[in-house]
Formats: sequence, structure tokens, C-alpha cells
Amino acid sequence: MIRILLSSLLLIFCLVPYVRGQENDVILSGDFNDIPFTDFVEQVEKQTGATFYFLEDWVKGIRVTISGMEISLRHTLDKTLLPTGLTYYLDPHLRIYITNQAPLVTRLPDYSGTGGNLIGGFDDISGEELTTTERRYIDGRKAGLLETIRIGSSETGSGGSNAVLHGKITDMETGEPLIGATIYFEELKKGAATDVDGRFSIVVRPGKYTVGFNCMGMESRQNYLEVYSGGELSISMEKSLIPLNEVVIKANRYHNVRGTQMGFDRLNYKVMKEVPVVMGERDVLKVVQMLPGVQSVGEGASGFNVRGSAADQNMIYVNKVPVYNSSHLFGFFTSISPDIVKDFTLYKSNLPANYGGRLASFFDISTRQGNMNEFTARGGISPVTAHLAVEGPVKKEKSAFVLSARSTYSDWILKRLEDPVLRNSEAAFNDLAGALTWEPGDKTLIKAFGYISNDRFKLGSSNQYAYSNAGASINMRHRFGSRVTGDMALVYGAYDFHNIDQNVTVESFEHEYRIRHYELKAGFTWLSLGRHKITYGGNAILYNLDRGTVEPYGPHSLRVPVELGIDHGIETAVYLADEITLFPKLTIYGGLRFAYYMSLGPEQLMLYQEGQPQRPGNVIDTLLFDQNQVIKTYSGLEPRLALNYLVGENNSLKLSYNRMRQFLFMLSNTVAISPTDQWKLCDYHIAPPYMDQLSMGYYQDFPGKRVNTSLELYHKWGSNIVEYRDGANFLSTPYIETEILQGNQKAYGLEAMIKKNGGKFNGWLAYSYSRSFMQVESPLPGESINEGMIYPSNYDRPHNLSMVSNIKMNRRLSFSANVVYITGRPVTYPISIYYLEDMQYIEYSDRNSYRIPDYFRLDFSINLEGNLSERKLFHSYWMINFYNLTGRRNAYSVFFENEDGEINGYKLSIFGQPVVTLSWNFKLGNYASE
Amino acid sequence: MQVNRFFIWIILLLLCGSCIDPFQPVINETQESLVINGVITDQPGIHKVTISMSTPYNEPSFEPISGCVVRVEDDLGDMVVYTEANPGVYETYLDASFLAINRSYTLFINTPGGQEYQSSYDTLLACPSIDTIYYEVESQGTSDPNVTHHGIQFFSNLTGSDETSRNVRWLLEETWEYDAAAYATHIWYGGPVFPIMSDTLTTCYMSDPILGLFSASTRYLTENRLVHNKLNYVSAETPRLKVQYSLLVKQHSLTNEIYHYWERMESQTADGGGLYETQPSSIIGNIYNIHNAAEKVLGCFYASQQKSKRLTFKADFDFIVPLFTCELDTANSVDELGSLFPYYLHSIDPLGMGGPPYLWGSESCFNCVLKGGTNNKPDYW
Repeated sequence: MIRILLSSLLLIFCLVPYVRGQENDVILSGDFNDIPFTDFVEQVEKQTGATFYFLEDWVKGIRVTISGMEISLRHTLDKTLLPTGLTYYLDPHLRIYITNQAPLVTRLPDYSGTGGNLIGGFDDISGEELTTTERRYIDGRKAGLLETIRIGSSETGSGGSNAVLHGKITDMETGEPLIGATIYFEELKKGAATDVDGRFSIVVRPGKYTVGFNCMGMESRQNYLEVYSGGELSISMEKSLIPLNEVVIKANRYHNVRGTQMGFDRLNYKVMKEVPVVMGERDVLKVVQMLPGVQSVGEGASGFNVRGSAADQNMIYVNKVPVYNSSHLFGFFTSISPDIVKDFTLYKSNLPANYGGRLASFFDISTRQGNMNEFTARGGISPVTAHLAVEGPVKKEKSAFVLSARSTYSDWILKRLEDPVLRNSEAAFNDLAGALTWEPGDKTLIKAFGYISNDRFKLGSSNQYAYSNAGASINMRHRFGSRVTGDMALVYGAYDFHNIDQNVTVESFEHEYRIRHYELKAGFTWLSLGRHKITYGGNAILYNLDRGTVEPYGPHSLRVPVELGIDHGIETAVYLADEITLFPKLTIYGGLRFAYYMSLGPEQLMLYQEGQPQRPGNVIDTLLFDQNQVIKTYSGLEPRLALNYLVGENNSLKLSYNRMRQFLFMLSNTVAISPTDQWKLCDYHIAPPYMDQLSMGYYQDFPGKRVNTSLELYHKWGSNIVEYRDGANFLSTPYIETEILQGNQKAYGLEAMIKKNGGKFNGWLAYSYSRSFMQVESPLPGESINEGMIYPSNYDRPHNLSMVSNIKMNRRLSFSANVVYITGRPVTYPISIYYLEDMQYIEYSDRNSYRIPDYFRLDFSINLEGNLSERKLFHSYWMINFYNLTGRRNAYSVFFENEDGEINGYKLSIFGQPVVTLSWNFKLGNYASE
Repeated sequence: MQVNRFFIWIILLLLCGSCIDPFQPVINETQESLVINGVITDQPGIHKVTISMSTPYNEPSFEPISGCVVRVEDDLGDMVVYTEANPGVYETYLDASFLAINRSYTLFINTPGGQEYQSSYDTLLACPSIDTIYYEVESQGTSDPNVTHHGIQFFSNLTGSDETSRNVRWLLEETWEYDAAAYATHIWYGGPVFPIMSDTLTTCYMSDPILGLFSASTRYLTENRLVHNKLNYVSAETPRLKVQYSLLVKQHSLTNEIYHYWERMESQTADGGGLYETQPSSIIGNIYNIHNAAEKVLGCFYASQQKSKRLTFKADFDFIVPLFTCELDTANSVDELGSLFPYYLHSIDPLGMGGPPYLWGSESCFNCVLKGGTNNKPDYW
């Protein structure tokens, strides 16, 4: 009786023509009263000639009770077996296969999309009952699922020549462009990535291709592409159903290994959402400071140092608007509201030829362009600020707007601080930004952006500061013909500050400063031949800078007003670059930028005796210049070279060299950038600083594990770098050359990074070793620093380890942690003590020959998302932040005070204990809404 | 998360505060430099030059250099030689004929090691006159909002002319009256108990130079005049403001070069290490090694006219000023005391006859001179 099921499904499928399972049945007769199933089988086999296949164990305890003349076997089996979890299949040859649990798939799904047939009555299996794997297996076989996109027409297409494809990749839901999405031609092993407007262009030979579209957080898609001639391609992508990877590093596989770009990091706003922050305030710059090669000047201080360079060597752009002071509230926060930030990119080396004017880095922030399909809003509340952003279509799928506002109530906190000076202080800031995007046609895209940020604070009763940034840009992107795309922008940037100092009554003063930046820029991409991608363009900037007048303040002030002077200058540049794919494995980027700077009048300047220091005592003559008269010009070529060699499929070697020039710098002799630091243009006496950088990198991806690794080495040489003289005072004279010196800088280092993109556990670990040195040497007396010897620069911090990690417990709950370790900043320490008039005095070491204690910080945050229901008005999430969890008292600075004739050393910590904050954010729509 | 709908925001906890901790850096180098400090004023009398070596940061001490030949020359070629009065301290008597306004002076030093040093010539400029010295009661907040410290802040006004220097520096000296913690009625040397008749033990006067740098310049002001110029602050946390207080202000005229030196010394000493402080650096004065310009010499030598003014006032303030305090024991008879004579006693005889019981304690409780002052009443008191 024991028969084992051995038959192969395939055999059945081959032998038997297609018959609906329910159509055949076996009719029997008899009177079965509570008999064991095996007995029933025996009798049925005898009566009808059918054969049963089953395991005896399965049917133990099953009893059959049925009687009649025309008993349906199907009906009986349905009644008897199905409730016990067994199923069966009755084939046309009267063979009955009993299976345990799983119904038998008796044939493969056909190409017309009809689902597979199942043993028994389970032919009506709906999609929900299939697992994703099954569905994919079944769907994957469906004919015609890969949609074919035809570009150009077969008539116009001339078979041999190249075709230029212009594409746009958008989010299906919001209509917003996707940045960093990639298109990849499998046959050509060639691809392109979308830019900040979601556009890409590529040159291919006409033909049929299989192309893949990928973008983090989006469902990837594949299409057949039939290219007859050049044309347009518009692709929209759907969100991934399961957003596995909230921390998304958009510098994805294509960038990491295949792109020529190096020393480059691109992150999007989702990263900001996860990284633990101080006081619950999400911040772009704080995230950037977790990247290798980027270090903050100090906690709560504005500015950051990139690869051993000064903070004024970084350019921060928001939609092409330069931000001259990127900080709110002393520097605790960034002056750009997190609600409006969409994506940000940091360039540290291998600057493309269209970037120029700063020595160390470009930090490019792009804001949201607005939802093209529907109105939405987001906002939040932290202990320090409240912020809100709204966006929506102006005309559906044609134009959209976004507006954001943020304001603080930090006075509330100050009143609770222990320090008596801070308790009597006031601080307030706000920022407002708006953007408008308009797409009149496929060939044109127009974007307008405006931005304003204000800060004021009163420190005790003696100091008042107020400063503001403002900016606007109009951007037009247009395609001329099929091969040339142009990008034109009109940019305005402004920065002002106002300061009242009443520390000493008779010396009380008021000072106002302003800088204006007017810029016109144009850039073009020309897809000439398949292997070339030529970019060219230029820009012109007019700087109007009023360093203001230091005026006496109050009735008792006896200060003499000092006019610090007005600077005018024009900076222009033109560039030409070509990216050539020499061999499939070797890509070369070569660019040349020519920068030209004019210092313009009116100006009155001092001439100093030759061979003597530029000091007030050595003036021999003065020169007067009229309005707009050219005082002095500076110019130079800036080569930009990069090479990418693909070693294998997933690893590459890159090399780059570039030269940068900078025509304005910041006057600062303080530890941190202070709100009264002035920008100053290069002039008759002060030549523009320039920097050469050579870098090399190795990139390896492990696509299966979603891991990217990189190792970069760099070496920089700078000249004419501005350093202040010992005891410099920038409010005392318009003749800045008497307060500064210029010297050489050398920096080198290594940066290693491992990134895990997506998955339950994601984040990155970065280590950098970097050194930075200065040398200010002159044969003239008193014109050297440190007697002309090389000394560590203020930002020489050799070891820097940072880790950003994020664990997603489920879709609603995630934990994030940061670890930061940095070698202490160089300082000048006391080395000996001496006595004058019974008082102790300190003799200091050479400049920067010691270091403050190393910095270590551990942060932790818990993110709790609102419910996942699809239909809700708004979705919110809570964030609990523990900043400096270990409470380590990191030294911000070390200083020495003379107290009743005794010297005592002290260490100042900004966050001397864990800072715990709770913040709440919301957005209209559900969990997945953008 | 229904709760979201009803709570716009909640702030659970906010802990934030910067802190300043004592810090002892590890300094692994020692640099010993010669320190030369001297001033000559237009006041005839004893003038001093001090020569020492700087000492390592972790072991500060005054290390004098003896056996130097010290001389000062003026621009007319007149010369005076100093003699070593104490180790490292060289003195000479200068009379009026050597000291004149607008004359320049230079200091020469020959060390026993054979090195030769010279200061640059410094001109003795006329000094603006001190108009007034005055004070204002000033309270300073503390980290505890409920606690305020009181005290007084001194100010001065001065008026100069085109003939007088634009830069001045002030040397301050304070004198204050104080009482011993306890008043001794009797003294016991082991034999009979003697009553004390004089009050020389009880009332003393403390005189000290105020350690601190005070300098100012009118170079960037429209007039050669200073008003409300901050001098020292006297805290009511010390017993200084109990009875009577006197401040002597000596004002020195300075040349631009010397002012620049003291001003940098002052601002570097005052820097609090905050967010926007400048980096410190070595400050070199006007003295150099004749044969080795690279050698670092600390300190400076300058010449100035000195104007003085004193402000003496009875201390009568609304705030509480602490007294010197002392723990005293009670003895019912002198027999209970030991043999470490003498014993100062304060009779608490209920009959007022000067007999026992006595309060007694260490001598410094009763003898104010032991606190460091003198019991000679100053003539300006």
C-alpha cells in the first residue's frame, strides 16, 4: 500500500495536454461509514482503477464517511483532505497525488501572462498570496515587460553617426528631478549620471540597447532602448517600496569607481535627518564635518577646514549664491534652513574647471525645487528654533515653488545659563528662502532663488553684533541644438555686519561692514563626439566692498574715526575642459581655466621704501586712483587634470592635479571665525594666494555588500597665503598690508573611507591623516613669523577618525551614533616664567608648537517615525539627541591667566556635559512622502 | 503616535553649559632667557634695574643674575653706574641734573658670562597730569543668579597737552586699615597677667603694590584727554574696604614703542581664552644682545616722567565686608594654658574687672602686624 510520490512535474507536463483540473472527476458508489482513509483508498482503487500516491503518515487518523450511488471523488477528497491541510491533484490518467501543505505547480506560467496551474482547487491564487520572490519569478518571465523606448525615427536616423540623447529623470510622485540617478548601457558598459536638475546627456551609436536606471531610494528600472537618432528621453522612477536605506550616500557606484571625480562627496538631506546633532537642529555643515578631510574649527565655531586649509579658503554656494558667513548664533548653527536643502556636494580636489576662486574646497548646496504635482509642507520644532517650508506647483508639471522660514527663541535658553554675562545676553536669528522653478518646454529650465538670513546678539552690556546674508540667483538652462546645453546664471550675494563695542567707555566704537557680490556666469556642455564631453564657459564677478568706518560710540567716546576703506574689484575667468574616454578603461579630464583680476579705484594707497618692511614708518609716497581706475591686475592659468583608470569592474585608480587662485581673504587673528572678521580683496600690495594640489586615489566597490571604499592621498603647495602679524589689529588702519604677512603653505595627507550604503546597518567610517604647515620668511627685520622657520598651521590636526552609523530596527524606529576623534589643534604654550615688578609673566613657545588635548565625542540619537498608515494628513517624527554622550570636557581652547601675580592654566569646554534634546518634525502626507 | 496630534512640541531636558577647568599643560622644553627690567623717572632718588633669568613654566622662581655691570647713559654722553644692592637688583641714586624731560637714555649691561646688552634709547617725555581719581560701586554677577559680589571700581581722568606724551602707564599702590581679629586686653608671660594699654596690636595698615597692568593711549583719540579710565577693582570679599582705603596712582609717560610693549603685555595677560581671543605670542621689548641679535631678551627699559596722586577715603558702604576671623578658646584660668609664651588674652570677666575667664588664641589673632601690615599710621591717614 505504501507508495511514494516520485513523479516529476515535468513528466506530467510533457505527457498531458492542457486540461482544466476540475473537468475530470471519478465517480464511485458505496457506503463508507467512518473507515480509515487507507481503507477508503483501497476500495476506490479496486472500484475505479485509479491510483493514489501518498505517504501513509499523512493520512493517519483521517476517516471517511460517505454513501451514495454517484459519489464524486473530488467532492469526497475536498471534504476529507482539505480541512487537514492536505491537497491533491487528479490527473487525466486517474492518478491521484496527495501532497502535504504546498499545492503542486503543475506547469510553468505561460508567456501570455496566465498564472500557473495548481493542483486541486487552488487555481485562483491572487497576487497577495504570492511571496515577492514568487511574484518576481513569475513576472520575470512575462513577455513584453521590458518596455521598449524608441528614440528618433528610423527614417531620419542615419545608421552610422552618433546620436545624442538628452534625458531627464524625475520622481514619479513629486515630479522633482532626481539628482545622481544613473543610466547605464549594458552593451556599451557606459553610463551617465544626472546633474542637479535631474538631466543627463550621453552620446551613443544608434542601435538597440538594454539600459538600467538606478537611483538610491528608487525602484530601479530596465528598458530596451532603440536609438535611431538623437532625441529626448524622460524617465520617471518610483520610490522603493521598502526604503531600506535612509542614509543614502549618493556618490554611488558610478561616481565612486567610474567617474573621474575624486575628493568629492555628495550627500542628500536624508543623511541630515539621521545624524545626531546638538540641540536637535539638523545641519548640513555638521554632517560635512563628519567626512574625511573636513574638520570643524571648534565646537560652536563657524567655519571648517578642508585638507589643512583655512576656513576662508572654502566657498559655500546655495544655488550658486555665495554665502559669506554661513553661521547662525556664534556658529552653533548653519544659516541655511535644513528644510530646504535637498542635496549637497563637497569638492576637495580635482575641481572641475567651472569652479574657481577658492583654494581649498567648494561646498555646493542645492535646494528643493518644489513639488510639481501637489502642495506639501514640512517643518519642525527643536529647543532652539521653529522652522517651516511649503512647496507646491504653480502650474502643474510646469512650475513649482518652495518657501522656507526659520526663527529662533534662543533668548529663552540664554536666560537659563549660569554664566552671568551670557545670562544678560540676547540672541536671535532667522532665515528665509524661496525658490521658483519653471519649465517652459523640454529645452529650457528656469530657476530663481532668493535667500536672506539675519543674526543679532548682545553679549552682556558691552558688545552688540548684528549681521546678515542676502542673495539671489536666476538660473537658466537651455539646450541649443542637439549637442550643446548652456547654463546661465545671474547671481547676487551680500553680507553685512554691524558691531558696537563698549568695553572701554572712552574707546567705545561702532563699526559697519558690507560686501556685495554681483556675478554673471555661463557654462556650456558640448557633446561633440562619442568619446568627448567638452565643457566651456566663463564668469565675471564684481566685488564692492566697504570695510566701513570705526566711529566713536556714545557721549564719552573719544575715539578718532578710522575709515577702513572701500575695495572694488572684478574677477573674471574663462575655461575649457574636455573629458575623453580614451579606452573603455581610461578616462581623462583635462581643463584650463584662466583667471583675471583687477583691483579698481577709487583708492589712496601708501608706497613703502624698498627693502623696508611695509610699516607706517616707512611710507615714502601716496598714490591716488580715480573711480574705476585699474590699480593693479593679477592673472594666471589654472590647469585641471584628472585621470581615471578602471582596473577591474569594481575598482579604479584616479589621479588629479589642479591649481586654484583666490582674490579675497578674511582678516582674522582669532581662534574661530568671529562675526567681525572682514573679507578683504587683494590689492596693490597683497597678491592673490594660489594653491597647487596633486592627489591620487584608489576606489574599490563591493556591490553585493553595498560597500564602497576609497583611499586618497594628496599634497598641496600654497603661496601668498595670508597670515597676521603678532598683535595685528584690523580695525586700526585701512592699510592692511601693515598688519599681515604672506607666506607659503604645505599640506599633505591620506584619507580612507568605508561606506555601507543601505541595509539595516549603514553609515561610514572615515580616517584621515593630514598635516599642514606654514612658513613666513623674509630677509626684512620683523617680517618673519617664527623666525622664518616652518611651523604647524592653525589647522594642522594629524589624526581624525569619524564614524556615522545608523541602525534601522524597523521602519519606525532607528538609532544613530557618531564618533569623532581629532588630534588637538596646535597652540602656543607658555614655556617659561619671568618676573617684572614682582609680577609673573609668561614667555610663549614658538607659534603653534604645542597642541590642546585631543578631541573625542560620542553622540547618539533615537528616531521615532509616526505610524505608517497610508492615508493621513501629516507624518511626523521625533528625534531624541544625546550630544557628547560621554560628557567629555573637550578643550575648545587653553589659556593662561595672571591672577594676583600667579600664572594659572585653564581649559575652556563648550559642551562640558551631555546635551539632551528632543525635537519634532513633520511633513504633509505619509511616511513615504517626499 | 496619536500623541503627535495634540502636542506641538515638548522639550524634555536641556542641559547646556560651557565650563572652565584648571589645566596644567605638559611642557617639554625649557628656555632660559635673560630678563632685564628697569625704569628711570624724573624723580631724583634710588632707581633700580633688575636682572634675572626666566625659569621653566612648571617651576617658577625668581632667579637673579649677580655680578653684572649695569650703567645708564643719556644722549649727551653722561653716564651713571649701578651697584648690586640685592642679588639681581641693581640700584643707583640719580639726581635731578641727570634727569630731564626730552632727554633719551639707554641701558648697558655686561654679564659675568661676557655678554653685552643694550636697550634702545628711550626718551623721557612729559607726563599728562592726573585730574582725578574716583571710584564707583560695582556689583558683579556670579554663576549663581542669587549671589552678587560687591566691590568698587577705581577710575581716573587725565588731561594732557600737545607737549605731553600720548601714552601712559599706571603703577598702583593700595593702603588699607584693618583690625586684628580679636582685641587683646591682657598678656601673660608666665608670671603675672599684665593688661595691655596701647592699641598697637589692634590697628594696622597694609600697603602693597597692586599686581596688574594698566596702560592707555590717547593716540587714536581726538584729544589728549582720558575720562573714566578703568583702574583696579577692589572686591568686598576681602577685608580691604572695612575701615579706610587709600590708592596711590603713579602715572608714567611712555613713548610709542614702550607703550606698544606694555599694551601687548596687558592685553595678552587679560585674554580670557574665549571664542574670539587672539593667539598669544612671545613679546620682546627694547633690549638686545649687542653681539648676537638673535638672542631673545625679555623685559624692557624705559624713561618717564612720573605724576602721582592719592585718594584716601573712609570705607562706608552698604554692602557687608568680611573681617579677619579667628577661633578662640576659653580658659577659666591661665593655669589651663601651656608654656608657649607669650599668651594674648581677652578678658570676658563678667564683673568687668579684667580677670578670668579669658579668651585666648594664636598670636596672629591678636597682633595685626603678623598679618603683614604695619602699625605705624601713615601720614596721609
